[in-house]
Amino acid sequence: MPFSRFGEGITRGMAITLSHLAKKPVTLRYPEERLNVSRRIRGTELGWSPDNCSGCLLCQDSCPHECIQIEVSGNRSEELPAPCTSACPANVDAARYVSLLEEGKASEAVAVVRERIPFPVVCAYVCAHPCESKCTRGDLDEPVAIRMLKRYAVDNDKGLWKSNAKNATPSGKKVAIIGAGPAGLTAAYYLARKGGHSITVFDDLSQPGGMVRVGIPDYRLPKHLLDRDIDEIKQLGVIFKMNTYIESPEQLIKDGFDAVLISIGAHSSSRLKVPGDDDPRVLGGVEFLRPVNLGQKVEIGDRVVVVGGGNTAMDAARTAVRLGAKDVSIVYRRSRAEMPAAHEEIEDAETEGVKMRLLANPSKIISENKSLKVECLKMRLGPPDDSGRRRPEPIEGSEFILEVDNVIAAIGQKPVIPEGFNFEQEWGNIKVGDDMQTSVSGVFSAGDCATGAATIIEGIAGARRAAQSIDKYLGGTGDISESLVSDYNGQITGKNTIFYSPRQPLPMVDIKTRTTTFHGAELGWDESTAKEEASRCLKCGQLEVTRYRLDGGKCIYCGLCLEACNFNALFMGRGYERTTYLLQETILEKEELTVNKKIQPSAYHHPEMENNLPAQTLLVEGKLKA
Amino acid sequence: MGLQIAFWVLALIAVGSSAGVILQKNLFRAALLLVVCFLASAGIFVTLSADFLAAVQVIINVGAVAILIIMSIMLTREVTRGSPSNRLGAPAFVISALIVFILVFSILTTAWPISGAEPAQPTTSVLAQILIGDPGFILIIQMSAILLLSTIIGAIVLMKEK
Amino acid sequence: MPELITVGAAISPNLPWSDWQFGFWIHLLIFGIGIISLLLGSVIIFIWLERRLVGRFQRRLGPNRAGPLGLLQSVADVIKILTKEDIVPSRADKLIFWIAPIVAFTPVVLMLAVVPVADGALLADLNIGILFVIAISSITALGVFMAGWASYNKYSILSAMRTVAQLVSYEMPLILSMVGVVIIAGSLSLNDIVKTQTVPFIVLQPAGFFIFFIASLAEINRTPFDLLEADSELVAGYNIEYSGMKFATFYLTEYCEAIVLSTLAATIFLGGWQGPWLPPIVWLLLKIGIVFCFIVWIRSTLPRLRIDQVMGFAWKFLLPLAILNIFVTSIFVALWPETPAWLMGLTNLAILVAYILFWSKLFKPGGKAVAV
Repeated sequence: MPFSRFGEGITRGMAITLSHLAKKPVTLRYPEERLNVSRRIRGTELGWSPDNCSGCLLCQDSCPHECIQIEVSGNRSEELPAPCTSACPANVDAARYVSLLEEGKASEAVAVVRERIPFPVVCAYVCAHPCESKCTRGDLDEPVAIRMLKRYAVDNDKGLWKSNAKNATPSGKKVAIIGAGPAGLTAAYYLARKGGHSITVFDDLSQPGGMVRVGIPDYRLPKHLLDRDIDEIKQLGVIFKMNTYIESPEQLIKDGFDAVLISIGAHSSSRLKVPGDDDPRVLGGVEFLRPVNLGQKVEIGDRVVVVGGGNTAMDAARTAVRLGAKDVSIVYRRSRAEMPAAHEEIEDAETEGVKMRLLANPSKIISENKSLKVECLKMRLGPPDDSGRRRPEPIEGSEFILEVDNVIAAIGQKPVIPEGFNFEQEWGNIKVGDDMQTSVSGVFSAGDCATGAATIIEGIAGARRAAQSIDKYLGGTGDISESLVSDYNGQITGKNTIFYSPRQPLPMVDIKTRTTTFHGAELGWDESTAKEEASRCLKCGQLEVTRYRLDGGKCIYCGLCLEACNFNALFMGRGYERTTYLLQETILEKEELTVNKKIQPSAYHHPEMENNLPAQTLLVEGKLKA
Repeated sequence: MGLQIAFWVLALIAVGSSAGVILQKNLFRAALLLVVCFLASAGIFVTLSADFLAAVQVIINVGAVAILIIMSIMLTREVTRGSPSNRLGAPAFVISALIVFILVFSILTTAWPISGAEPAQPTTSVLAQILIGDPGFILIIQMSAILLLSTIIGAIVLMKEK
Repeated sequence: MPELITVGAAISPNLPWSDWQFGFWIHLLIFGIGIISLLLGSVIIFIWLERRLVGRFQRRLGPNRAGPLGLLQSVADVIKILTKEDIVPSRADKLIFWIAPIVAFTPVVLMLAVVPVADGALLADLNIGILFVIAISSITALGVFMAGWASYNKYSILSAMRTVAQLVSYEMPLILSMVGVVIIAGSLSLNDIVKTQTVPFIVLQPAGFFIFFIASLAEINRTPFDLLEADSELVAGYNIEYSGMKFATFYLTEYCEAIVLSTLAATIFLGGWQGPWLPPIVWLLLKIGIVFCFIVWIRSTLPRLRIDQVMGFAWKFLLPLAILNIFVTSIFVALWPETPAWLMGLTNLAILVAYILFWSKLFKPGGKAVAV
């Protein structure tokens, strides 16, 4: 290397350092100054989806750098309900009444339930509680026992809601409701109370209640509790015409009714559709349960096999146990995880001695003199079908024989639509539009007959919609929402620390009483247990997040907030080359999320949020703010 | 008066530190005491109005010689314990006794003349006149230069890697 | 005390208190306190200045948090360092460990005694001013040496060895570079040298200033000659075991040395206090600041040299150039004393450039490494 290179190097170096004197230092004096870097920075971006965010503040608490500042506005809102509330078909505000129960306010809690449904007691005992499956707490350990908390509330109700309830002035319109099930009675309740219409309910059973009365055994819902809810409806002046079979709804309209609601339910079990299922010893699930629940004497053999995995199958199996069957087993063609019945029902059934024969399906029923031989095929689970459950496939040559006295087919129900009902049908159900109106004007339908066999709460939810439509049809406002308890005014804050704690244990009657009588199987909770359980609620969804502020100068993209988020409201975009915003300060603001569509979105893991992405990166000082 | 005090203080320091150089077992400290001795003698030069000599004393003896001594000491082992006893004790004693005798004899027998003239102010031009002036010691200076040159060449030859 | 009065008058003849009875002691007191406070005060400012400047040279801000523009950073550092625990290694030579910072620091302050801040305004107008400075400055090396040895640490001993080799080597060109100035000025007294500079000697002696500046950089162990505390090799060098105020003293010594050598460069080559319009002291401080900033500029640009490069540079490059400089200057002064200043300066500059070009042909960078 020639020596002159040294001189050149020294001179150039000195010149460079000298020229640096004139340049602006690159030091960033945070927080007085913010970095103004190029648009295309390397790194990843953090996104926030306000639809999913429930304001539990767990991400804010999880951030070690305190980059996240969440601005919340007051109480919970209708637009951003808690997952439990949105999971409920009738949108019962579970989050609110659970937090009321945390303070021991049972009557207020019942009033909150009553704001959405007229059957708080029924739902407290037998609701399928889809809310619990969506509970955030379930992502941590176990979901909050919302139904049991509701049961504590109705057991300790003092009727506070009545003082806040306002009955509408009579409208002079008459509405006929066919079917006194939960759907029909819900519609009757709202049409009478909020619409002021005079209601007549027809049913061919002797007592109102529909499937709740004839389909749900006493050990789950004692009949006097059902009467508590129905009595409230009777007090509204609703006329009940029992033991009346309606042949034609058009006839009712001709008789002077302004509107008709058909909520006849799904009272006919589906047949097994295997050879030999026409034997009289092969019973349908609801056909087996109805006489039992109506107090009639039912004979059943010692060996019973129940086909199906739903709640009806469990009810049938457990009822058979209580009727004295020695050997009760359930045959289900999928595995336990796919069973549609509630998990505690399955567990209770097993506790009471019901055997589970999973991945099996009856293929033939052979009638003999003394017994039935049920030939079953073993199944295996194939790829998932449209409903997301794995489709069972039979295994050739895997037949086995069950020798039983009775077969109960609880594989589903369908409505029995009388001949005179000349409506369009769909899949065996009455076809309704979005407003629950059938193909005949003025005739509406709700409940199982419109949707297919479903849960009580879904029937109630459908009936609410039907009631709104009927009220509008009759010239009312269609507004059946009400507030029965004053808004919660206390300061709700997110939980700073979450201790892992399981559910409170569910007290049960001892096994001997359970298996021999129809007394209520579950016992209620006392106040301390209920408060303890209610305090497990994470209060998600009770704070409405209006502004999600992420300090990009501090954030190191560690991802702890993503891990903390149980709602998938936070996500990391694929970033790197496609991160097209300045990293000065990212404010994720709800109003801004719908404004800017210019920037190319990127959301690798969350393609469904693609539309949300660009405007999540609101630029405070950057050039990109369109 | 002031000069007298300064002289005695400096003299005591010089004598004391030279005694320390001999008696101190720690070689490094001994070398440092030698530096003190040099500085004290430089101070004595100052009191004698020989400021140039004093400065040169500090430059050469303190700044160069003493530091080289210390460096060579650091390269030796057993710095803190001094030199262990060996068989050279007797000849060393004889030689040093001889040197002491010669020094004392010559100091006592010399008649020390005291100049009555004022000390030259500044001293540098006078020194230059004496050293490289007309009747001066130019030849000796040239010879010392040659001596230094040959020393440097010798050092290079010794150090040069074969 | 008639004796003292005459001494005082002889040392500083032009000041108003010289013929007063205790004028000598008053003079000592005023200038002693003045020099020490000026030095220590300016160290605080210069540390801040250096850190800010290095920052700006490297496109940083430098200290900017404590006080406006970070001016209180040095104060904060002082408070921090004063409250630190004073640690002495168990196997250290404790006495020498204690004395070393003092031995290193004292000569630096003493050097300012002969620097005039105005005509005749200096602590002691010694006839041998320059020699005094050189003599005293070599004692600082002793302090560094003592510290390195007493710490009982191989890094500090290595650092001390390097220091000695470097200082002894660079003392030679440093002294010889000033000889040219002395020849032109005809005096060793700094006061006389400043008074002679109607034209600053940097114009007359560019080669001399070149050698002086480089050699003084080596003397004060600044980059690119900061081998004795080469952080990447020796961790921190001779002061590795020092903490608290003793460490602070070494730190102070380093900066005082830098300031003192800036002062000397300003005094010997840049005309000292001379200058139009402004008062002399302001001119002197201004020139000190400029030289210091230049040192900082070099520090923030050049990397550290290897030890063999450092030694080779001193002996093979600077020393011959210094001798050449003396030779040429002597010829001018002795044979053609009437030579105009510009011719003398140009000749000197030409010699410098020619020498660098000539030497660069001979010198081969790289070569064999010398282990020291």
